Amino acid sequence: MLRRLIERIRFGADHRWSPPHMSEYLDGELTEGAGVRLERHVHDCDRCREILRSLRTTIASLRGLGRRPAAAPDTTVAPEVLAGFRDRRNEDDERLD
Amino acid sequence: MSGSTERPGLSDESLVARAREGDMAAFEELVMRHADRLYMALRRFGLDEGEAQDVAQETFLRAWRSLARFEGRSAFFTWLYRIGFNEAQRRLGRRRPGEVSTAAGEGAIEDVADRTPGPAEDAEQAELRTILADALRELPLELRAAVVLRDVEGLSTREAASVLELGEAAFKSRLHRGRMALRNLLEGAFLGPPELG
Repeated sequence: MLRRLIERIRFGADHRWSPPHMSEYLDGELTEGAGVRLERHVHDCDRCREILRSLRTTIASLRGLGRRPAAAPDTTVAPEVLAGFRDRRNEDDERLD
Repeated sequence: MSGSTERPGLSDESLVARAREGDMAAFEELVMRHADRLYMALRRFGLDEGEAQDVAQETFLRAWRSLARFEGRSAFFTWLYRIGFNEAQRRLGRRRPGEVSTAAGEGAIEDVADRTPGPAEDAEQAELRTILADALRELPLELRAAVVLRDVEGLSTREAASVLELGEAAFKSRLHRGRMALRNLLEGAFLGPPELG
C-alpha cells in the first residue's frame, strides 16, 4: 500500500514536470537522467504521450515550412536588396556631408 | 547584375574584417551572401514582400554603419538577424491585433517557404502549409520570433537566443510556449482530436 502511494505521488510529480520539458527533450537538450524520467512518464501516461506526439508533429511541420527547393536564380532578391542598400548608403552619405 | 565582386572563397569573418577597414566590395559580398536568407526569415516572420525588402535593406545599412561595434562574439548572420528582427518586430507591433498586410494575408510565409511547388508537393501538403502558416501568424510576436528562428529557420538554440538577446533558459521557455500555443491552435486541423490537450 505504501508502495502504491509512493508511485502515485511520483506519477503526479512527473505529470506536472514532463510537459514543460518536452521541447528540450525533442531538441535533444535534456540531460540523460531527465530524458529517462520523461520517457518513463510518457510510457505510463496517455495524456502526456499524446501531448508529446502532437508537439513532435508540430515541430516537424514547422521544419517543413523552412525547407526550400534548390536555390532558383529567378527567386533571389539579393540584387534588389544590394541596390536598395547602395541607394540608402549614398543618401546617408550625402546627408552627412 | 549586382556590381559586387564575388569572393566565394572568403569566410564571413574575413569579409567582415576587410569591410571594417573600409572595403565596401567586401561588405557588398556579405549583402549578396545573406540577403536572401534574411529576406525569407523576415517574410516568414510576417512581413510582406515590400516590407521584408525594406527591412533587409535597412538592416544592411545599419550593419554597415555600426560595423565597428560588431565584436564578432556571434556569427555575422546572427547579428544581422538581430538587427532585422528588432526592426520587423517594431513594425509588426504597430499593427492592430489581427491586422495583416495584403501580401502577407495572401500567404507570405508559405510562399517564401516554397515558391515553386516541388514534384512531391500535393494539394494536401499545400493545404497543411497554409494552415500552419496561418496559425503561426496568430502567435504573439515574441513567441512567433522564437519559433520562426529555431524551427523554421533552423538556428540552434544558442544562435536563436542570441538573436533575441535572451539567455538560453529564457529562450527555451519562450520557444516551448510558442510551440505549445501553435500545437493548441492546430489541434483538430491535423494533429488529431483535441480531447487530450
